[in-house]
Amino acid sequence: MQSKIPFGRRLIKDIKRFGGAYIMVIPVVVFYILFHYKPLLGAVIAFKNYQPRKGIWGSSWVGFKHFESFFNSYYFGRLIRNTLTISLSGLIFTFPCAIIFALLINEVKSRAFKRTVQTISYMPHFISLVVVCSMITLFVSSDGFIVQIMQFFGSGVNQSLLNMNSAFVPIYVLSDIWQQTGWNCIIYLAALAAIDTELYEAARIDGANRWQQTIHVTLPGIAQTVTLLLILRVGSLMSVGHEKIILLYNDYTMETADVISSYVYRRGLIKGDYSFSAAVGLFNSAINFALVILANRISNKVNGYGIW
Amino acid sequence: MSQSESTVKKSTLRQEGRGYQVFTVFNTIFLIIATFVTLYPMYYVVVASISDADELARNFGLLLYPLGKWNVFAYELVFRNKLVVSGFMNTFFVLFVGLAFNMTFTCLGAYFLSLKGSILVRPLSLLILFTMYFSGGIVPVYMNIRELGLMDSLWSLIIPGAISTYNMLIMRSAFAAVPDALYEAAYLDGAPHYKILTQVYVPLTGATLAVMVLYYGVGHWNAWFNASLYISNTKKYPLQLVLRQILLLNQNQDLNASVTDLGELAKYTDLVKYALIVVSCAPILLLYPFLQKFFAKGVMVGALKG
Amino acid sequence: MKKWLTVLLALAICLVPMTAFAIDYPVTTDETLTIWKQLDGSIAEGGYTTSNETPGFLAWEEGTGIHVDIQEYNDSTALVLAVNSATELPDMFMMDPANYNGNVMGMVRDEMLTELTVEMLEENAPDYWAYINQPMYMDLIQQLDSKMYYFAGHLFEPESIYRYWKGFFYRGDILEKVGWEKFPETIDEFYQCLVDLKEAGITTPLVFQGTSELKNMLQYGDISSPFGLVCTGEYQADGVWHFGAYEPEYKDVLAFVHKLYEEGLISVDYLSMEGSVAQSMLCTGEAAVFYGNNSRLNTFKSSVEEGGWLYPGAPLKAEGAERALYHFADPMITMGDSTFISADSKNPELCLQFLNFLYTEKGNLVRNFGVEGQSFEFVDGIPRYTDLITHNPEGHALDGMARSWALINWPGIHADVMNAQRHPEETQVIAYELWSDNDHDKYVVTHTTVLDDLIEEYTSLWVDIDLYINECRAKFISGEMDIEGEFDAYIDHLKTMGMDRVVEIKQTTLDAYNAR
Repeated sequence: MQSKIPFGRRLIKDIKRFGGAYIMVIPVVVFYILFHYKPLLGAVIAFKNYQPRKGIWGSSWVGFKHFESFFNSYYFGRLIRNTLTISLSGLIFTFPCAIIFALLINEVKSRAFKRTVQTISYMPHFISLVVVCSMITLFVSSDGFIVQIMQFFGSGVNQSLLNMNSAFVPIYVLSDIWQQTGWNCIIYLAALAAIDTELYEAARIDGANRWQQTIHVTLPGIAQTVTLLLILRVGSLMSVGHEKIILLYNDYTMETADVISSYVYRRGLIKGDYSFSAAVGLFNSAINFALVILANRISNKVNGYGIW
Repeated sequence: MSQSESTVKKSTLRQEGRGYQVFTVFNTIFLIIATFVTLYPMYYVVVASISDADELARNFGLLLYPLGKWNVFAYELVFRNKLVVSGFMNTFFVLFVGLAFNMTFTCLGAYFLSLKGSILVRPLSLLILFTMYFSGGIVPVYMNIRELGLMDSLWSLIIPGAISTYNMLIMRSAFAAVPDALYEAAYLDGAPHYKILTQVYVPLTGATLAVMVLYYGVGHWNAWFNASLYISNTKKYPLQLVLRQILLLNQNQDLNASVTDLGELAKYTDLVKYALIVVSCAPILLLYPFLQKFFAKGVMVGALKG
Repeated sequence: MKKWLTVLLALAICLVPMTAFAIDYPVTTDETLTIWKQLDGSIAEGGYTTSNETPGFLAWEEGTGIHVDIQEYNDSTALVLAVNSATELPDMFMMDPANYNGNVMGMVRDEMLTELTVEMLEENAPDYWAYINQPMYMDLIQQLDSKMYYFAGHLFEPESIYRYWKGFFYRGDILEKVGWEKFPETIDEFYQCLVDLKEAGITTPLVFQGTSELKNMLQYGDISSPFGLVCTGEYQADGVWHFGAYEPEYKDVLAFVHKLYEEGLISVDYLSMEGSVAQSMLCTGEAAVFYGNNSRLNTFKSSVEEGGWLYPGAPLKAEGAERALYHFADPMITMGDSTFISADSKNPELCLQFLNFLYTEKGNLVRNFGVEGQSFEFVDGIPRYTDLITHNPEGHALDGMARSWALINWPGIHADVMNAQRHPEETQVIAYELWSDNDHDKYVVTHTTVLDDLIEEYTSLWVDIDLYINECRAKFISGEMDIEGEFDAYIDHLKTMGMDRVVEIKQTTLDAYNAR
């Protein structure tokens, strides 16, 4: 449009017009350079043999060595598998819970009851992760009430569930459902509230019963919200956060609990293998980025608009 | 959210058949159970924390009321731990100073990004958006903090998190929704940009700002991971790190010093954990009724900004 | 108590020819040195939060005239993280080099250390040099390149039995009740004893603190040596390097522990048993056998239920054998408080002078006993802790007080005369004597590092293998992996992970070490 005018001149004009705003944005720009782009540059250690005392640029280049050794590592397959298992379990179990919960709440007539249910269901969201994980640890220990209830119903479990490989993913997912369902369903409730009342009226006049109304009016009404959130979720399929994993896993549940991010943390920051784990981290970032781009494309196709 | 949705049902629900009535009954029962399941773990912690240590250790299964003679001994033990007290102080410091930084930086950034007509808005947005989806990973980030000399300082928990890109984009949407005419009027009046921001934009976006405070605040309150990397002096530990130390890593030197009978120590260990959980959640739960009205608003502004 | 005099005499004799280099304490300097170390939690029991404030440390500073700032890290992870990533190191740091990627030689490779030459030591740490310059210590201190890179952590006197501070002990009263008149000596007796206890209604006969102590029992041979396997970790026999968990006998060891697990002789929940739970079970009689530290014999005493008493048991041996092959022992020099002088230090000489003080006659007293007239007094020529330490009026524990007033978690000579006073109970003395009766020193691999050019290959192999061995151990014990059916697959798997190469690297290193 204005491409004929050189950029420099346009910029000067722009600065004259928005001068104050430019000055105001400087701290923000500095922030992004210092805390986002500088570490991004620091990620070149993935291609180097980084030694802290030689500095990033003083260390020697090794090309893709660390990436290769990660791909050939015994644990490579396991990390990918665990990461996918945990995020897919979230997608299959945690994600629909909020939708179903919202639909059920939506059917409640009594306002007081509805408010109570909602208020209580949000609460766990505000409990910190450290506390949630320590509650889990206490409850599923060998004398915790959850294990005791399982024993009461005839299960032979008599050790902490956190030491059992088979229990890690269920614990992870169920606690997520407990903590986040209430909070996550708010958005669906809002979408439900936004459905035009006349649509229901019309359906009723057409002789649709309650169930048919749900199928033909309610579900299409929140479909857009659901797809959007679903796509966002797909975009983060390969990024399982390390915090909850680190708080809950131990040497004996790594077989099912160790994910890429916790591996990066352990190898890099605990064992001091900076370059190697920077390589693993970079690999993970790249995959995540590709997934987000993909998700955005899909969103554009399906919804007609993207995530950004 | 609660105003319009209920009107829907008032008009539609009356003439439903038997099937729906059965459903309603089951639905109500299900929601009551779900609510109970949600609430129970928290209730258990509270009840356990005031129970008698011996009886609690002997108890099998669920807990419905405090066992034995209820007492607050565990709470005394909690506050005998100096780290708990200093943890609260550190967290409050990070919370209040952090929020000041958060709000200032976020508003400054959001204001620029919401400017109409500046040719730098788009490139800057792209550069900022990129950081949301691509990062160097925790290792380079850690090294960066180290190089900047922020190690072992509470500032390392404040400055590097001054802006959450996600929150800033929400804020930008709120600013962008302010009618252009108001901006133009102020601009033509010769008001400098900082005045436009503080006297036009900020007063008009109060609700979103409150949500930002909620988001950032909860974030500060719950954060532990960065502190575990950056803070080594236990006196500077924020609350969550102290909690991790005692609740998950079972390091509680002060308890060992208070309870000298080793045969007794084990049962107090768990009791103190329950009390500590209650103490650490108390501030948020006390604020809960006041925060509640922002929740729905909060999620809404967060979700569909696109 | 003669030993104490011998030490002093030895010190005195060594000092004579060195007088030319003796250091005049206090030295005059305006410099402040810095040191990083891990926080010793037990000073909290003495009422202190940082070592900077402890009377012992203040006495050290006063004695040398050198001011030192301590930066303490709460756990080893935090300390390693700090050292690992430091662009500028403090003058000194005290850390177990095993936690560093590549051990001591890794730090050398990364140019982190100031080499301690003989000239430097003669000049700035004459008392230290005079004491350690004998094969028993030099073997440990000198690296494969025959150079010295650190100031030795606390070291034991040549014949000290106080290195053997971990083992089994029993609730004597319960064993008597069950009909045992002596304490088990062989592995078969041990097993039978546990079975009898279980039958008599003791819920969990054997307890210990979580996984770390089980690992110790195996790694220090307590359970493995009766099966003809020295230990499940590394050891050497006739110049050949072995790794226990890669030997065929390991199968029998695992089968034994699995049997204990299955029959409920150890807790099914042993993986997450906290120390506080284990000790309360022993004290209340829910358990009768404990694996742990000597000091517990004393600290548990007051908490054991009425009529109960504790008694140590000898390291377990095979039927008909004379003594155990192996048992827990500290090395002659403890690596955990080895102090490195960093390459960034502008004052390595001053650092050495500061550290050397602990080896002077006066410094040795401060290190082991603290401040004369307050924390100790001479009784019949022997330094003795005062009641302030042993029977603290405010109820602080002996160990915490000793660690606050003296410097026993710092470098220096860990004197027998001091250890005897920290462990005064009769049962504790007996424990040391029993526990020191084994062939530990014959099999122990003293060097911890590998040859320079092999470090990188070794560490990248070992990280994965170590994790795999740990995981499999737990699974074999719980029965999740079947020992009969899957042990061979386990060995094969270690092969594919490169275990043979690890053995090769370790053997090459051992040969080089022996050829020095």
